[in-house]
Amino acid sequence: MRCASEGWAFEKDEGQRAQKALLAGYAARLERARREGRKVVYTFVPGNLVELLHTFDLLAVYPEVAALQAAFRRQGEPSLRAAEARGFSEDVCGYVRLSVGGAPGAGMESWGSRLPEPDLLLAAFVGCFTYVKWFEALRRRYGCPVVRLHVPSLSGPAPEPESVRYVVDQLKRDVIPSLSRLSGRRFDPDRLREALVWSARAEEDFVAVLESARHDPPPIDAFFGAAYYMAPLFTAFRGTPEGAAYYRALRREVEERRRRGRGPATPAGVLDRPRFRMVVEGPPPWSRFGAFWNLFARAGAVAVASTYSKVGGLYDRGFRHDAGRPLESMAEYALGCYTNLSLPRRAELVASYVREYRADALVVHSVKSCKSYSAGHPRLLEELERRTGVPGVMLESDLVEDRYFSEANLRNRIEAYFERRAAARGRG
Amino acid sequence: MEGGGGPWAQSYMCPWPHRLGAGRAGGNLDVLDGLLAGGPCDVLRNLTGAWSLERSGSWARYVDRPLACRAGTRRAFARERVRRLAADLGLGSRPGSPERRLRRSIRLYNRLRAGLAELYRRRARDPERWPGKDVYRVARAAGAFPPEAYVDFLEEFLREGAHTAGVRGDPARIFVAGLFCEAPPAAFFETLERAGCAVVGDDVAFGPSGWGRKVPESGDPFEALAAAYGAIEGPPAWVPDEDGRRVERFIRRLARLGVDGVLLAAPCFCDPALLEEPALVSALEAAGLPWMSVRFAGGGGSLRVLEEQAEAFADAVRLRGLGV
Repeated sequence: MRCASEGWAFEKDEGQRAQKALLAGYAARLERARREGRKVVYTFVPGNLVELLHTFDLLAVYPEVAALQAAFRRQGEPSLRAAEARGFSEDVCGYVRLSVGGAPGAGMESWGSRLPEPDLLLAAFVGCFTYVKWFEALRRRYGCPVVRLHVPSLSGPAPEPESVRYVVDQLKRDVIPSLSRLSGRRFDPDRLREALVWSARAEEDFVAVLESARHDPPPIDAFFGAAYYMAPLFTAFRGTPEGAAYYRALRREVEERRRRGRGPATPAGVLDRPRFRMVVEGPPPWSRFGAFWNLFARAGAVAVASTYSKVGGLYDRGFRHDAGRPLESMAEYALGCYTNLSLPRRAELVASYVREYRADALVVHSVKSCKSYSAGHPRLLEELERRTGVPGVMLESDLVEDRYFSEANLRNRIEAYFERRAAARGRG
Repeated sequence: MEGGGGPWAQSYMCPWPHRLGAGRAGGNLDVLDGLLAGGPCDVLRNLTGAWSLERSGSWARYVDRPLACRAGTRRAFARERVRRLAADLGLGSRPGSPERRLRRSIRLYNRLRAGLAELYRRRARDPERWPGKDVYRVARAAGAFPPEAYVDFLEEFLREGAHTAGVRGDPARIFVAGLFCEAPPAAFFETLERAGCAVVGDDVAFGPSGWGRKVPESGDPFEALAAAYGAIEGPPAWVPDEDGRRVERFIRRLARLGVDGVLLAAPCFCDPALLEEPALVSALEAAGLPWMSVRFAGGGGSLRVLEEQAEAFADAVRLRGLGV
C-alpha cells in the first residue's frame, strides 16, 4: 500500500496479504450469488450471527464493511453527496449515507466486486440504535423483509440472565424461523454446533495474536494492524474452516516474528524499536487510514492494545463461542461486544489494557459518525488518565468523511503529545 | 446552559452532553441522588455511564426499552426490568404494600396523561384559545413538579379554560415533528405563532400527544407497567417501524388533526430522528402537504431566522389553501 503524495508506503505482512485474498475471494462469491441461486442476508458486525447464516447456507453482507472499504479506497465521496442530495443529513452516520447514497439498484461494491441486493435484512443491533433506522432505510430501498434482534446494553460485569433469555427467545422465535423460511431449510442444531467449534478455534488464535503485543517489541500493531487481522473473524469467516486456518497461520506468523524480535510493519517501516506503546480507544478514520497511521508511526508509536479490535467480540476477556450451549453463547457473545458496554465498564477495560500491556501513551479517537462509540469520550479520557496516571490525547475526525479529517491539525496534536510524553520520560 | 459543557462537550453531539456538563459545572445537579434514563438512545446510555464515573457510588440506570419483534418477548423482558428498577428504588423496603403503592402511582399518571391529552385535543380544536406556547409550558411543567400537585393544577387549568389569546387571523395549522427530546424554549413556539403558524400537534412532550396509553389500574401492577413499557409506541425516531407503514399512519394522523403543513425540526446530530426525514418528506409530498425543515440545536439557533422561515412557510401554506 503506497501513497507517494502523502509520503508513506506500507509493505503488508503475510497475515494482511492473506486477509485481503480471503475477503476478495468472498466478495467474488457474493457477486456470483444471484447466478448460483444463493440467498443473501445483510447484517451488522457487532453481535453478528454468522454461524446461524452458515447453518442455513445463507451468505452474509456487512454494509458497514462495504462502506468502510469505499472510504478506504477514497471512493466514498460521490455516495456521501448523493445521499445528502436525497435528504439524508450530513450529520447522519457516514456509513449509513455511503450505503444509501448510490442510485437505487446500483448496489454496493467490495474489493471490486458488485454486492448483491439483500433477500433479508437481519437487524441484530448491538450498542447502536442507528442500525435499526439504517435498515429501515434499506428496506424502503430494496423492499425486502427485516427481522430484528434487540440486544440490550450491558452495564454489569457479565450478561444478566434475563438479558440472555431475552436474546435467546428472539433467536428461537424470530431469527431462526425467518432464516428457515428464506432458505427453505430446517434448522440443523448439529451444523450450528460444528460452526461454533470452528469459531472458538479461530477466537483462541486471534486472542493469542492480540496478546502477543504484551512483548517488547510488540510483533503486531494492535490497532492499525489488527484492523486487518480482525476482519475475517468479525465477518463471514467466523464459524468456518477457512477462518480457523487463517488465524492458525496468522498466530504462527506472529509468534515467529516475536521469536525473531521483530516489530510490526507500519507506513514508517518495520518498527523493531518503538518509542511509545499506546492504547487506542475509538475507531480509525477509514478514508485516511494510512495517513493517520503514518502520523503515529513517524512518532515511533505502536498500538499494543485497542478497543476497536473488540467491536466484533470481546474475546480477550475469556469469551468463546460454546458448541455445548449454542444459542446461549451466541447471546452472551452479542451482549459482550465492546460498544454494548457501559462507560464505566469501558473505562475499566481500557485502564486494564494500559496496565497489562505496559502502555505509556493513551489515544482517544472520537468520530462524528458514531455516537455510540464517541458520546462521553471526553469524560472517559478524564477517567482513564485518573485511573492509570498516563496522560492521554483526544483526537477528533470521522469514520469516512475527508472533510472532518484535518491532517495538519492532527499532526500538530500528535507530535506535540508525543514530544510531551518524551519530555516527561526524560524528567522521570 | 450553552458553552458550559466543559470536558463533556462535543461539537458533533446533540445538546445532552453539553447540558449535563453545564449542570455539573454549575453545581445544578448536586441536588440529585441519581439518574434514570430510558432507551433507546446511545448518547443517553453513555451519559448515564459518564454520570456514574462522575459520582462514584451514585445511583444511575439506563433502562433499555425492549424492541424485540414479539410483544410477549418484549413484555417478559420489561417485567424483569420493572421489578429490578422497583427494587433499586426501594419500593419493597418502604411501608405499605408495593403493589398498592404502584397502583396508586399508575392511577395518578393515568390522570396526568388524560389531562394532557385533553389539553392537546383542545389546542388542535381551537388553537386561537389554546395557543401552542401556553400548552407547551403547561405540558413541560409536568416534568418539573410533583405529580400530585401537577395533576391538580392541570385539571383546574382545564376547568377554568383558556384566557390567553392565541394566533389571530388565518393561521397555518402546522405539526412540529422531530423535537421529541430537545425540550426547546417556549419562545420556539411563540416565534412560530408570531410568524402566523398555529401549532396544533407536536411530538415534543410525546407522552401526552396521544402515544402514552392508559395503563391498567387493576391486576398485577408490575405486569401492567411491563406491558406499557414493552409496547412499541412513541415518536417515529424512538421506535422501529414494525410493518413499514408507520409513515402512512402518521399522514393519517395529520389528516385527523386538520394539519395544513409540517415543520420538520429534527435535533442536530440525532441519527434516529434525522434518518426519519427522507421517508417523511416523500410521504408528505405524496400526500400534497407542504413541509419545511429546520435544525434545532438545543436553543443555540437563532429564533429570528426561524421566524423568517416560518413566516415564509405560513404564507406559502395560506397561498396554497387559496389555490395560488
